[in-house]
Amino acid sequence: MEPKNQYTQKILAPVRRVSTGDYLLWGVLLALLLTGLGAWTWQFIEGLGITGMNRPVYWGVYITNFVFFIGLAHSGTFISAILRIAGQSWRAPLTRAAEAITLFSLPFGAGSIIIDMGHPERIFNLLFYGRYQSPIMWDVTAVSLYMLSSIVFFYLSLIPDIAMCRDRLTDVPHWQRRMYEILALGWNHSPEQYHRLEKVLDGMAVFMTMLVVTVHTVVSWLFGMTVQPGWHTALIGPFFLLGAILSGTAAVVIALALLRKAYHLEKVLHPGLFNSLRKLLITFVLGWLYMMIAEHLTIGYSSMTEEMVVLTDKFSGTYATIFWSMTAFVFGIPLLIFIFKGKNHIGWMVFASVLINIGMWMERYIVIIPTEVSPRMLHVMGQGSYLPALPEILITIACFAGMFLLYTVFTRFFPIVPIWETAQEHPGHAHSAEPSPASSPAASD
Amino acid sequence: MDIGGVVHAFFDNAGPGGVFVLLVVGGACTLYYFLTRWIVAGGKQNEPTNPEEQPVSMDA
Repeated sequence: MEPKNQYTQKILAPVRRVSTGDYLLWGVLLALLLTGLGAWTWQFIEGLGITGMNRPVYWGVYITNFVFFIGLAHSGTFISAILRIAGQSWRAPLTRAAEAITLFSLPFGAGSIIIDMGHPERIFNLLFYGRYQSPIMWDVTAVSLYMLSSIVFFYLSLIPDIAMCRDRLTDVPHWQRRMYEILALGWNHSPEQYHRLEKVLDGMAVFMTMLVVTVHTVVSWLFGMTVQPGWHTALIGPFFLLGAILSGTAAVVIALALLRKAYHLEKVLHPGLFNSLRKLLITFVLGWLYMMIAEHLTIGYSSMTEEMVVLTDKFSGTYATIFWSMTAFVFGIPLLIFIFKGKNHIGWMVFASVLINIGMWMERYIVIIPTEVSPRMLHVMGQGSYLPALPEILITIACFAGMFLLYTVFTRFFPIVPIWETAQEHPGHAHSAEPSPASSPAASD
Repeated sequence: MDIGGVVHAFFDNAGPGGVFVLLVVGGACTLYYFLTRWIVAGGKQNEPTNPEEQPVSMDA
């Protein structure tokens, strides 16, 4: 028996046809992606010397992108796994939109490391000569396991809906029908299948929650395990993690608002969802401020020479404009918007979320570059300088375009709102007494 | 057996780290494959039995 959802037709509507506007958008995004690919080829031929990186600035915007995209990827796991464990049923309509962000930002996060290597084939050195003393090996283990687990978690919860596409979308091209047949794995909506699926997703949610913490902590340890000023602090793990969840949740707000508008999903993605996310974002923004103060106060109070060079650079030196803009974008402006304007105003929510993500990218930049410019062995290395060069800018734009392209293409071939999870009635409900979230739009208020 | 020596060798030598990564990812792939199979197999319990596979009635 197929799940009964009053919004099935509405959710499946975007999957039925690809419009000219879609092709145009995909074309533009593909062109940006190819431009980035061209820039990468240029960098491969000429070497990393054509980038802004130099001695002692060995890490630039590629590593900024790496940390940012991995952070963005925490959105899906947070919404799907952590809120699943907490029994927050209101999250159901937005799980897939959030998980898709995870799925499509992770390749660009992991890919940024490969781009930064200059020669991509050097990635195999990690496998052939990997030494587990090195934090980069911890990172490779955590990120690859997270990527694999995210794909499986995403795919498993998609299977019932793919089966619905297979059964209902008879007017789509033959190859698309064939794709649904293969990916549905013979799903026949039996109660036992749903029971097993829920069981596995619940178990995986616990595992994914642990992975989320591990992954971003390990990412932060790439910095924290060095003795460089601004990095060598035990706070860097939780600080990175909180920032990741903040930017990820803000990204979910942006994605939901765009999907709602583009695919006319106003009834499914109701304002109540945005209000719930608003409350979460207020908590995360305040948590982020706490971590900022804790980290900078600890460093500033000790007044260690090398640390103070970096801190002064951030507060009142070369990077002061970026630092204070970042603080306004991540904390000041969004908090005011969430408290005074955000409630029931999706436009304001999106504006604040865009600011948060711009601010979080700047935060990753401000964590990396000032330390690289003024390393601990300043007397040996000398004061450095860094400005991203053209290939780095083109590749960064291409990464964002690529992520957006994959996301938009996905939404045209698969339902972006989980039909079975938001169904008023499905065979698995016999095993689960969870109320249907889609049927109660105001529940989260 | 010198366990300390083994641990030391694992962290200190070039090579075991890569093998460990492959083992973790490979192990996860295997686990996820069997979990997916187990979930989907739940549907076979409800499928109508093929008439050709029905046992011959003893009433005859």
